[in-house]
Formats: sequence, C-alpha cells, structure tokens
Amino acid sequence: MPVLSRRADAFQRALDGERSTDAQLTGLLATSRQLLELGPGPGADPAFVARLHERLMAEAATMPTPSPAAAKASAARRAAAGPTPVVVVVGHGLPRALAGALASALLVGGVVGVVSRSSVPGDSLYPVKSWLDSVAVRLADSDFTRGQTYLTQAQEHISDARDLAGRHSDVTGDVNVALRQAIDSVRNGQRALDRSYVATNDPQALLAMRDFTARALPQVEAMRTEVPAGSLKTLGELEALLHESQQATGRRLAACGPRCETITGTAYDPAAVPGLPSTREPGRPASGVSRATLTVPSTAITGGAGGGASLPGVSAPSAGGVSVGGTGGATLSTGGAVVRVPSLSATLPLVSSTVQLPAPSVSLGTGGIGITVPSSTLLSATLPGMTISLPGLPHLP
Amino acid sequence: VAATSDFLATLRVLLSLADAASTLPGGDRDGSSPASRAGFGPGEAPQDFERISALVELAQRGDSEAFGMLYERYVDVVYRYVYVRVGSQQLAEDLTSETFLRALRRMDSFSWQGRDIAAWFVTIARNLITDNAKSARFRMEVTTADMLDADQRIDAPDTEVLERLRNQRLLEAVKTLKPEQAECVVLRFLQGLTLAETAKVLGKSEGAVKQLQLRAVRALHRELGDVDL
Repeated sequence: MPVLSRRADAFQRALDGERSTDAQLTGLLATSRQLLELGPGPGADPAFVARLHERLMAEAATMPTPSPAAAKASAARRAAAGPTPVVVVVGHGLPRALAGALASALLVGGVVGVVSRSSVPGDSLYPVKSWLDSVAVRLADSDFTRGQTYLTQAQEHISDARDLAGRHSDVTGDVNVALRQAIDSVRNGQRALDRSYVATNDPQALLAMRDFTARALPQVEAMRTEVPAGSLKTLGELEALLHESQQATGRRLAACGPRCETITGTAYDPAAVPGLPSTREPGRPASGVSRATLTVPSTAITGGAGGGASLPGVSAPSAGGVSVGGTGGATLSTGGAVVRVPSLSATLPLVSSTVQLPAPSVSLGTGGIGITVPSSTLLSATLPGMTISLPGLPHLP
Repeated sequence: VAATSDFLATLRVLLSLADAASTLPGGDRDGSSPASRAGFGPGEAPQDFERISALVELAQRGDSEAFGMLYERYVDVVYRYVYVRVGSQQLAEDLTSETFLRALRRMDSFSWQGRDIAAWFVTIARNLITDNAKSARFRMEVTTADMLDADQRIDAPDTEVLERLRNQRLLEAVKTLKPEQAECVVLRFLQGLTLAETAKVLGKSEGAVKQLQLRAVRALHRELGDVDL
C-alpha cells in the first residue's frame, strides 16, 4: 500500500509540526487538534496515587535486593534480548518499490538462469543460456581461463546436440545450431589457449586443448549414427576441426621439448591403486612413457586408466588415479571427476555425470567442471595439469 | 578503558538522578494533558530518555526510590488509559495498583529498552484489562460526561456550550471507530504516547501505527464533516 503509506508518513510529519499546504491534511490536522483538546480523561485521585506509592514502597522493602550476580545476569539477559534481527528498511514509496522490483528481478533472473542451464536449442530459455555463456566468457580473467570456459561450453554444445539427436522429432535445425555453436566455441577456445601459450609459455594451455579434443572426438564420432542426415555436414566440420586442433596441439607439445615432458612424460600407474579398474593391456603402457611415482608439486603425475566404464552415452573411457599438480582447483574429465587441492588431486571414477549441489554448485559434466553460482557458470576450472591417457587413441604424434 | 566507561556511566546516572530529583517529584501531572506535554504533535515531545533509562536501570538493581520515581512519572498515563477503558474509578484504581505491583515484581525481567518503560506499563495494564473483561477487544467504557468533565479549563460561557457539543460528538465518533483504530486514537491523541510507544503497546510496527492513525483520523474527520460544527 505505497500510497497509503506515503499519506500516513505525510500525516505523521504534519503532526510533528511540518507545514503542509495540502488541504486534505489540514483538515485531518484540525480533527487531530480537536482530539488532543479532549484531554486524556479524568486523572487519578491524588490520595489514591499517594496510597499506591506507599504500598509499592512497602512491597519493594519486602523484596530481596538483587545480588550483583543476579543484576549482572539480568543485564546479560537484556543484552542477549537486545539485538534483534537486522531488517534493512529501504526508503518509502518509489525507492521501496524500486528495491522490491530489483529484488524480484534478481530472484526471477536467478531462477531463470538456473533453469536455463538445462535448455537446448529450440527451448524458450536457450537464449538465456547463451547469454549466460557469453557472460562467463567475459568474466574470465585470462586467456587461459577464457579458453577453458569456451571449451567447457563447447562440450555443453556437443552434449546438447546429442540430446537433441536422441529426440524423435525433426531437430535438424536445432542440432545444427548446437553444432555450429560447438564449432565456434572450439575455435574461440583454441584461439584463447594459443594466445595464453604464446604469452606465458605455459604448456598447460596446450594440455587443456589436447584433453578436450581427446574427450570430444569420441563423442562426435559416436554422433555420426545419431544425428539427422541434414546435420552430418556440420558434424563433419566439427570433427575435422577437432582433428586439426588435436594434431596442431600435438605438434606444439612435441616442439615444446623437455619443459613439456615433465608434465606429459611422467605417468602414474593407476593399476597400482586398489579398486580402480584398469583394462590396459600389459604390453601397451599409456603414452608409452616411463613410469614415475608421485613427484614434487608443480609436476603433474597423470593417471591413465583405460576403462570400459563409459558414462551413459559417452564413449570415452573413465579415468582414475591420483595426480599432483601445481595450482588448486577442481576439474573433471570425461568419465571422471578430479578434485584438486593445491598441489594434490585425486581422480575418481564417477558414475553419475552431474552432481548438483546447493548454490554455488559444482556440476560435473562430460566436458568439464563448472562451479555454478546461481544463474551462471562463472568459473570453469578444468585444469589441464591432469591428463588422462586414453589407450587406443592417437596421443602424441 | 572499562573502568573509565564504568565511571562515566556512574557519573551519568548521578547527573540524571540530580536532574530527575529536581523535576520529577509530582511529575508533570499538573500539566499532563498530552497537548501540553507534546506541544501539538502528540507524544513527540523531546523526553529525556536518558534519564528514564537511568531510572529503569537503577530500579532493576532493586532501587525502590528509582521505581517510585518511575511510578510518579507514569501513574497517570496508566490510570487514564485504564479509566477510559473500564469507565469506573474503583476498577481503574484496582487495575492501576495491580499494574504497578506487577511491574515492581517483574522489574528484573524487563528486557525492553529503558525508554520503552511507559509502553511496558501500559501493556501490563492492557493485559490486566483483557483478563478482567474476558475479551481482548478494545472498548471505551468511559462516559462522555466523565471524559469531558475531566477537562478543567475555564472557557468563556458562550463558547463553552458549543465546544462541549463538539467534543461530545467527537468522543461518540471515537467510540464508533473500529476497536483497533479507537485504541490507537486513545493512546496517541488522548494519552499522548509516542508513535514508538503506541507501536509497542499495540504490538505493531511504527509504519502500521502511522497508517492506523491516518485511517482513524480520516474516519473521524468524515464523521464530523457530516455534522457541520
């Protein structure tokens, strides 16, 4: 009731003595004055007041004087009762209405944002998801994180395309939209990671790209039999792009020399970890490199567990192992989640592909981990220190 | 630091007491119409909450003199509120006595802010009236004649008749208000409680009381407007 509330405030101010030219208020003020002149009614008989005073004093005399401890206790009680919940009161009238509208918009925006995360092209909320994706890219503070964000989004677009392809309706247009966006995201991601590598010489950027292509290619290949015929051309483009990226990244990694070997060259044998499935054939060590045990931080030890435990619809093998890396964070790779504390991470085979936690939530998708604060994926923390060797896939040229 | 602040607190209490001693006895009972207490704005007179708070603190530590001063200060507020509601001097005195006896016994459990003590007293009285009447509904039982005879002002005889008629009409109009509005009018305008005190007694927010008083005065204004006075 903003109008009534404004009038009520104005009336109170007029009662307080503020001058008003409002005729209506002046009329109400006259009535108020009349009320005041009525007086409070008959007062108490002075004799009664005196008698009661005496009675109270007599009563007080019979009461035990509170001990200092009791006084302190009651003071503490008062203090405890004192602080009341903080209520932010925002203005009146228009400011309050604006604050209310803003709060509602934030709430609705948050809900729409969260709901939009699961939308696919063709859904009414899909534009929201696209917008949030662009926000996430803009929020990235470096080329490296930007590149990772793009790749995470590329993975989402690939997943979207797979979801759409599984539907029994004409989805060619929507699948193409998803694939186009995947292509754009892969291109942008590669560009950002290349810039990052050129600027910092940090091979992590190359590894991020290599990991991504290794994860994404099997998914894209599997889609060949799923997508509508009208989407095969675009799918082919995406596949070619991924192959190209993989080879280019591989060449750069090879050219990078000894510096990259410390990262890519040591392999931790996941078969040694009890309970982790390893289907690797004895004669085919992952990556064909020498084995190493846990080494110092900043050197990643990669776990390469070949595995037949595919995620639903995901053909990439699951990975498990323990890695030691440089920075903190969290990542997940296809078929597994990596929880990384500074300098130590553990790769766990994961059955479910998505873990939703109360906001901020961590979602594990096939493409990366997103720390999702309500409404958008702000942090994409797919850290490339973790590499997963995929037996049977072309690894290094 | 603690010792200094303790010392300052003690000093403040002493000063407040000295101030209170010179002004309190007898209170402002002689000129206690809300209009005189509050200028025009009901209940908004700058009251020295500091002094009242100090008295409350002392009373809570068992200082009967301090409680006596609070009693002197507020006995009329309580009595008048009760009288307006019960309309009988005997019952009003009984309930006022019970109010202050109860307050004295429960002083150490008083956990509101010191300056809310008036609202606390009135709230105790209000609860007692409710117990007595077996109904929580606000009713003005005071007769118009009783109410108006309390007005001791001497007016010129020719205006007196007119004004009395006008006041009678107004009081009757107050009695026809919704119970909540009527109580708000009694507390705010007749008894001269502050907005904050009225809110405490009614258990409402100050914003709600502002709206309540606006609605009440509007209703009265309409009612009186029909009869051109």
